[in-house]
Amino acid sequence: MADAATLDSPETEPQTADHGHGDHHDHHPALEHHFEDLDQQFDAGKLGMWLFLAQEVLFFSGLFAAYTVYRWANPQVFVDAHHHLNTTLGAINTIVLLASSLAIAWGVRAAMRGDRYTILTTHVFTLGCAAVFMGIKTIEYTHKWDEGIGAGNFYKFLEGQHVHGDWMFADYVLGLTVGSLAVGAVVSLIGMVLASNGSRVWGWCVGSVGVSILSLGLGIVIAKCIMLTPLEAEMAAAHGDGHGAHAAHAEDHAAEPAHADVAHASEEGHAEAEGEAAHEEPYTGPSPAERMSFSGPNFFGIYFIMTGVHAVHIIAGMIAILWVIAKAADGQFDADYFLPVENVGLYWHLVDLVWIYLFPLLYLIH
Amino acid sequence: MISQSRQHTLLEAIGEDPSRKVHIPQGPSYLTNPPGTTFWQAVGSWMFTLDHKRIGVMYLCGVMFAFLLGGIYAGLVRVELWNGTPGFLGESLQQAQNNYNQAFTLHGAIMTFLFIIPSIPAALGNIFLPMMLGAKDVAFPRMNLASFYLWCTGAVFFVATLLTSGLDTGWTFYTPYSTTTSTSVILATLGVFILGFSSIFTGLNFVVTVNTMRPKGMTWFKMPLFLWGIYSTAIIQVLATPVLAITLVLLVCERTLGIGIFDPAKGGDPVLFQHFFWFYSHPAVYIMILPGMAVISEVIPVYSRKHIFGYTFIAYSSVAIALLGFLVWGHHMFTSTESALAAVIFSALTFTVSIPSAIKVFNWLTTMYKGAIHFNAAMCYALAFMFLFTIGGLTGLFLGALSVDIHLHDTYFVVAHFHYVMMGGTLIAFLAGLHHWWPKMFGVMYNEFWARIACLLVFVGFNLTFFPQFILGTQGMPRRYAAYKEEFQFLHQLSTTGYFVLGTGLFLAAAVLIISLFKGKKAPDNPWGAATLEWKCCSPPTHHNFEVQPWTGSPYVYDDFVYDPDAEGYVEVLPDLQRDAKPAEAPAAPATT
Ligand code: HEM
Ligand SMILES: [Cu+2]
Repeated sequence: MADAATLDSPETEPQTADHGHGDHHDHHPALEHHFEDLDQQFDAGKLGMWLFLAQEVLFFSGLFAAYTVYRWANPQVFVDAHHHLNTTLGAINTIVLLASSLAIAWGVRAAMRGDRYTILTTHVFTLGCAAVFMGIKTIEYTHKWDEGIGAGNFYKFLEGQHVHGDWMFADYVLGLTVGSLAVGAVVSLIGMVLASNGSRVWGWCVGSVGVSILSLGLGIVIAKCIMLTPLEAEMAAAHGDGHGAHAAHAEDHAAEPAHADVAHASEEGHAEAEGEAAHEEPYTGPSPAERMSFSGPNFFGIYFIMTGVHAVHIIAGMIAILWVIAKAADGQFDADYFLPVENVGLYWHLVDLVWIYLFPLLYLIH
Repeated sequence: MISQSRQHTLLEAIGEDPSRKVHIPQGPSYLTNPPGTTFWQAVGSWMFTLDHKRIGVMYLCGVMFAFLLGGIYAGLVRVELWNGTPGFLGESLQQAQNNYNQAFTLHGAIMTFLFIIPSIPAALGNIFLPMMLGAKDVAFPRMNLASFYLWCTGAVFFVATLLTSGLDTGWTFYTPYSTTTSTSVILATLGVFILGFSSIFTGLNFVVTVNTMRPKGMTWFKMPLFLWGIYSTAIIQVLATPVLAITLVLLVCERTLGIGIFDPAKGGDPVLFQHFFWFYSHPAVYIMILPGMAVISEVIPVYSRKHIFGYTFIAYSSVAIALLGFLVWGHHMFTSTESALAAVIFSALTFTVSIPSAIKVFNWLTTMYKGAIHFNAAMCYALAFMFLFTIGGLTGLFLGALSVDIHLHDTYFVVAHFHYVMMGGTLIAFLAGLHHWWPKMFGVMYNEFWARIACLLVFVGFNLTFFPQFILGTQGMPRRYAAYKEEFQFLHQLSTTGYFVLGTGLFLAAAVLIISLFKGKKAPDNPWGAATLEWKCCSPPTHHNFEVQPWTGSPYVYDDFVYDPDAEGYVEVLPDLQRDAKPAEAPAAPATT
């Protein structure tokens, strides 16, 4: 770890042989008072990030474990249900994220060399990729919603029937696209104006936000174009029959009081969650006969949670990248100090890596 | 007693050459602000402090408040159980049982998530971990403060749970009941989620601090054992807590969206929740006990005036417990449709965990053997810990044995077991640490006599409360019931009586400590003659802990600490190099006067 720092800045080799206190030869503005030198600070920061990433991996591991358990037990449901996912969109998103990872790695390299301008451009590019990803996700999610494929209770899909609500996302997509492209362009322009007028930090920040909004619109356009190509229609037709499992999901199963338990009586319970009428029956769990099997709604429950938690991480990453852009524009990094760039880069790679697993596990099932 | 005769020679040596006495520079206490600070500036200086000691003190206040709250709920549970018939918590059985469910749930959840998990690491660890390293602070002071405020936010969620419809799922949040009950499960789970991140941040901070901020001379095996224990704990905090976090996210989604992961009515698997929950919560019991063991490993050698026995064994056993702890969660699920094969494997693995625990107990005992034991309050608590933890650990083996657990599962035997380890273990160790470090933290001495009386009351009260519960459990009294059969009444009444004795003891201990803040004598820098670095600065320490870098000697060699009647405490004397022919890498001239 330390070689990364020393590689480019041999002058920051530990100079204090004794376990000194007080006088440091090293007066770097970024050095915090409780560290002895930048090397120690760098090691600490980087180890901290790796631990945080370990924590993230375990956070996702719960989801992957749930996925594994259910897929193991219900392979057919997974194969059938996943045909509602658009592989092309998933593949494009994979490519977009890989590109963003490449860019951010390049940015870290630039930071090690103290090349400020490249840090900024690569990070803005990464931010743009992230926003394209989110744009494509937006279309994927809203399209499912319009089809009646929501998570859990919001799953209204029935094979061969169109379950249109009164309210369709599709009606607003055009507005959203035009809006984000226009707003994005304007905000980017403002950013450029600001930057050229001397307020570099505000300029880059506002510009990055503009690029993000613009890229969101771009992502939506890409997704819409792909959805309209015949490929998608063919796929849907070819696999349209694979939903036996949904039919089995009878929506109305009144709860039967299997074992009335003083300790565990509850009035609202499950009945309310399902939006059913069985209010007077205290829910105490289904009897074995009523136990529902794992089916389409469960698959999409897992799908939405996994991709949703991932999307939240993307958004967090975008905020972090914006922070790095602000600091870089402010000239806070140099070849001796670029820890935040490196750490945000590591985080971003992890978020990408999760997607690299999600994509085959959800979209490419056979 | 070798050490005493040596002390003698050294005493003479100071007489001859007072310059060998290590002088500890005094400075303004971290508790005070510079003169002229207004009230609001002072408040701000605490609220936004990055000083690990102040954050530790705030944590201390926080966890003590949580402990009080949890203790009150425990009282509700115990008083209801005075009679086998409903009464105190409701007229009808239904009413009493509903309220009883709330009381034991809130008691358990508050004690576990708000009190025990942060108690030793976040309060005592925060204050003493950097000091034991001779460092100025933890690696990430801002994250440390964030962790405290996350704890506060989590506490607010819990209070919100209390003020809305409460919680009646048990601290384990088992599905499907937790997805269907009408109580505030979402508020409580969000609270636990946030507390989880508070715990992760603390753990992360400690791992990094220990890894990167040790002073030059302190190799891994020269670290005080407290650090080994906290380090192992921190690893579990970082690696186990996120699994709980995602489980709770799934639980919240289950309740709000009905995603069908855990709810059998929707095709989900409720047993999966138990797996997830215990994958965190068994390691979490080691998050609770390892810091306790860490405190005991410091306290016992100091008051026995003897080098700790089996240092490396104690150090490795902490790590072993941390790692093995990840492999035994299935012992909570012997009766939850676990396959016979899995049950046998988990049972066998459970037995292996007891090996490192026993190693520690034997090493502490051996440390005391032929030591010059001083029965200070801290040592009394440490002895109580050894006794109670041993009972707790041994009864864990009963529960880990498959056939026996089928009978004992979900009875009062389990309740007694975990109280012996959690309360008899962690809480008592926390009190030991609090008494041991109190003079350093606040710079005052408490009344030893009353502190010891309090310890005695706690010990007696504790056993009176929980020992009868072992018997109740073997006789078949199930846990989590508000009413019971006649025949259990006597033991339940003993237990409830014990609660009041225990409570009195705890209040007395608190009173002794709090009174000392106002009336206590000023503490010497090293009242107990301990050799770890936190005693090599003034009491209470300054903002930067050390005005001069202390010499890192062995944390358990007490020969160079001699009692100085003038200071009413111990002072360190530099070894006489010519006479003792100490190892060559002896001190590079620490500051002396
Ligand atoms: C010496 C090692 C230990 C062994 C072999 C052991 C074994 C067990 C077993 C087998 C159970 C499950 C009992 C059942 O539900 O039927 C159990 C429950 C429990 N143990 Fe331990 N244990 C040990 C140490 C600890 C420690 C150190 C703590 C906490 C500081 C602890 C806290 C708990 C708790 C809280 C439960 C009850 C969980 C619940 O159902 O609410 N145990 N223990
Ligand atoms: Cu366990």
